[in-house]
Amino acid sequence: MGTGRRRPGGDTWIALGLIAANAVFLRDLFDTEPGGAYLKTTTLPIALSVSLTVLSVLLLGWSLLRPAAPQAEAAAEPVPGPPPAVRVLAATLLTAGYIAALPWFGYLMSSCAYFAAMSLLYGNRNPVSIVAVMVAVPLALMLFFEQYMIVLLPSAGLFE
Amino acid sequence: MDLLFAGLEQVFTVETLSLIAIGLIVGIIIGAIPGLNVPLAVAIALPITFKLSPIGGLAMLVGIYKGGTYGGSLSAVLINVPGTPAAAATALDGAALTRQGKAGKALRMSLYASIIAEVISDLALILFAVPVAAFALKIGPPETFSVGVFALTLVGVLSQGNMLKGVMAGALGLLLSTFGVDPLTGDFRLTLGFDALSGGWSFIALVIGVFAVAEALVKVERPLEKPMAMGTVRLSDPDHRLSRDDWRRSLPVITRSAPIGVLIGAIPGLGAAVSAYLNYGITRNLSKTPERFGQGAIEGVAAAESGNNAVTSATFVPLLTLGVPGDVITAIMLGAFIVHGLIPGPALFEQNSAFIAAFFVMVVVTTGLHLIIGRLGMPLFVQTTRISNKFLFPAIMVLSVTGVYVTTNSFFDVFTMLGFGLLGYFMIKCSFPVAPLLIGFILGPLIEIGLRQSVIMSRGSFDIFLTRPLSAAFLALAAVSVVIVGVREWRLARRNTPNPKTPEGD
Repeated sequence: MGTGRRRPGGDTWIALGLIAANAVFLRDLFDTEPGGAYLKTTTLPIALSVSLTVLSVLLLGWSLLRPAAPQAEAAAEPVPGPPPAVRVLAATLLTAGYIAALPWFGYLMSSCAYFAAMSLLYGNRNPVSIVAVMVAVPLALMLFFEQYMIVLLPSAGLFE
Repeated sequence: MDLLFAGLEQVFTVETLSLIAIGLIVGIIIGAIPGLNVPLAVAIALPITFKLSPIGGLAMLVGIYKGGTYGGSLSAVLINVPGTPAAAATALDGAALTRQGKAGKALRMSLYASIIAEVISDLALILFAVPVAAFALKIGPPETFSVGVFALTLVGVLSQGNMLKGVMAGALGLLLSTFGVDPLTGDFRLTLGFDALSGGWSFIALVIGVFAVAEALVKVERPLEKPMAMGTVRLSDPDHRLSRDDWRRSLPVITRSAPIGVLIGAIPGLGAAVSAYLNYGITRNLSKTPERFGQGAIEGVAAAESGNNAVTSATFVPLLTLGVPGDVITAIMLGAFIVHGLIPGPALFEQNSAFIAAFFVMVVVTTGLHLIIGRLGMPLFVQTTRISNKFLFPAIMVLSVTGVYVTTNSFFDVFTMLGFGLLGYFMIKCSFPVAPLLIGFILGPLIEIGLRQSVIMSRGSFDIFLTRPLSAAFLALAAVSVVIVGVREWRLARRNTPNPKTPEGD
């Protein structure tokens, strides 16, 4: 396998993402009325944002111009079930859904459901252990925080 | 001598010893739980201490402080989730050792390095409180800025072999630290139209996101991996014990890191996280085998933990001698002193010398009990490595969400944690070092405030950083550090570049 034309990889997308994000940051900074004496409120953030943009452009150039690395000979052992990217996406969406559900369904109900779904995603297929742990862990955390630390966890707004 | 005996009499009572033990146990538990921090535990315990004797109440608070500072390393080592921001440096090598089946080794070094550093910190408090306080008084904004710049050179140290990505991660950390209200003028910047961003990004959301959530997302890709240990983990197994070689590597590191941690602790505003990372970076920079760091170097755990815990007694130096708290925790404890009619400052040593003697004895006794309680709990802690991923990671995710919520009481910050988790996941996938991101975020406010206050002090001139000896010394150290890192990186690049005269195989 020789060196060939390089396809955009993770570095390319990260560099592009950082350039786009810094464009948003710089726009916000230049729209801000800067206060302070000598060095203004926005001086350091602008300097940092510009530096990061320059570094991102360097990374972008490097990622596109360097010769393509030879492809790995042996792929990792395949895992049964959905591909890894789908699992990561599913875990992310489940977590986002869990956080969004907390103010509506309360800590205990949301955490139990989330724990069960994540256990399935991590390969647990034993219903007894799933049910036992999905109740035990959130309940223990709730008792610890609310009874001992006197910190209130989200209550179920939907049922109040 | 009479004062010493009076102090011993006050401390060696069932009540005081029990309070120290309770404080240590509570502190270790709180420290090990991500999101729950030591200031929170000290604040909750503060009203309880009002009903106790002055030395008894403070004994419990000091126990929480010391136990909590150490406790953060337990979850950092065992599940790669730093319980406290300072323990993030411990996670770099501690979690790698756990993945290699050497969790006991990492836990032992974490405890012993913490205890040795605490002893050195206790002695510094007792013997050198006044000169150390005088040193701390010389630290103004220019010196704070220069210390920050010196510490920032660690970004290079921690990025070896990947300098561009490391510097980018450090710059991103610095930039993220500037979001929200300007600490000097109160003006808002980079809020992007979100009111929730007016206070900036939550540090705990960042730490838990890039460590815990990112790790959980990496592990979900291959969910059927077996747990790190299948049977009962015995600390007596050779892989869990510290060898003579481990001590040979770590002892010089501890004896160097602890005094540095003491000086950092004595300077108000720096804190344990700066000390842990600074010592980790210095140790890696001075190592003949820096490539081992991040892969399970035992001296990496020793440096981070000794730097972290050396701060604990040193923060009492400015509090007791000048009445200036060294960090948030001692600021809360100041309340306990005042409620008991003890006003910290030079007069305290003259008017309440018996209390000061008892306080010094209590601090040393707390360190001794810390060793006993930490060692007794170790066989229990290490069993965490037996938990299967299918139970461990769902629990870590629930704990992470809960931890960020109870710390910030904001769903925005919990979503932020998930965002930082995705950032950490992509950083791991694209070989970006995570540590520089955290260092940049920790040092950002220190550097910005130091820089801007100094420029105001000198009416717009930057000469102030070079005309003040301590500031100039730290900048010189930063320059030396950059040169060392540059030379090492250049050598590494040369070693990795294939010789064009050598024909390639195939």
